[in-house]
Amino acid sequence: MRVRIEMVGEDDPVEAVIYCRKVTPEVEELARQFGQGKNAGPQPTFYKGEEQYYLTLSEILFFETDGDGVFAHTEKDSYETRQRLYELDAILPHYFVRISRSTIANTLHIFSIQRGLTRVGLVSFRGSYKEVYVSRMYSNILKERMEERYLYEKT
Amino acid sequence: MRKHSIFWGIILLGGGVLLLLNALGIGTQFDLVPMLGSILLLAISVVSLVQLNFVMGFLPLSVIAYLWRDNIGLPDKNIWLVFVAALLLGIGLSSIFWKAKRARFAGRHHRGDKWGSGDKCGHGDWSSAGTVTSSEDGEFVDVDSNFGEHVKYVRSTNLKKVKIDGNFSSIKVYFDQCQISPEGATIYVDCNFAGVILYVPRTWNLDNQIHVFAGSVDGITLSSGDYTSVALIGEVHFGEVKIVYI
Repeated sequence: MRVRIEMVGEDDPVEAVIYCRKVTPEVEELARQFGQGKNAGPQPTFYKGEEQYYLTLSEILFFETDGDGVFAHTEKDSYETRQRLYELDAILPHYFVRISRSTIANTLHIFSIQRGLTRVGLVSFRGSYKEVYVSRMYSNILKERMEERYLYEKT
Repeated sequence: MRKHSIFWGIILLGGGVLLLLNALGIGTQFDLVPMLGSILLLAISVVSLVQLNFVMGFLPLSVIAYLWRDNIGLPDKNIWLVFVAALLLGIGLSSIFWKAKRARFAGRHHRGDKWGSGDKCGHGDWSSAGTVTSSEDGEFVDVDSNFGEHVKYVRSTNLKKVKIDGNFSSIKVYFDQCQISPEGATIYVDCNFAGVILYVPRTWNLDNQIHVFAGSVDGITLSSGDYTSVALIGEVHFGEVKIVYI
């Protein structure tokens, strides 16, 4: 891997950009070390009953609030997390985006967004039967992030 | 044959006879067709109101008002207002009397369970959706949606009863992470002008007992073998319930 350091001016923000072909656990770890999460902090922990699971964030399709708990959904399963949704929103990588009051989705797994009559969209994920709704309030930010992903994948 | 089927059979036969009479031009001079039509609509209305289905109770009354608009002096331009008024009345009363309807349902199908007096969220709003999961093991699950879209992933280690109430909305309910109670489970669907999609495991053997009027229940396949039995009951009016096996 080539490492390049560029100096910036006093007024410019200090940032680290990782160019990669695929978001692997190693890349995620690197990003976490750089504090790529909106705020660097503890990583989510995943549970099923009393059992703790060690998942990589790239496996997660979306996080959703259900009752008192927050659940992380993979293609065919779901796990409870101990963090609240707003805490996850703060620590998750940039490719996760809030799409409704109760859901944070992984843009890397989004396969389609179906617009409804009420401008609420139905989001489906690649390789999974699971679907979630994106609310009006968050549809623009999701669109922006999807365009970012498209540009990112082209490079 | 069930009493309910006979009633709706007669209603549909009556509708067919009316259309035939109209096509043949019989009785038009005596208002025979509107009169018989009104009687049929009134029957639908009364049955629906008795079942505390207010939307289906008031809509036929607005159609009766349309049929007799000349006699009651209703201007043509106001007829849509009558339909909308009937719809709003129906929805409003449904919102007010949902507890009574639930208590009746609980008494009919689930004596002694929590629904008769349970809390409920998301009701009474113009556009609302909500779910309630009762008991530690998630035995009772309640999904409500009015004028909106809603997705519910049901989690339960001992699922007994599920109630899905959809009015003018789209609801998707996933049962892939559920374990059915050894006593079996019941899913009650009350679907009015709504689309409900149930994602169920292939190991479920659904017993469809839903009463359908101007709607459909699609996708149920008969399972062979010793699969878990789940009763699917409730009512569909101008809506669709679709089963997707996963």
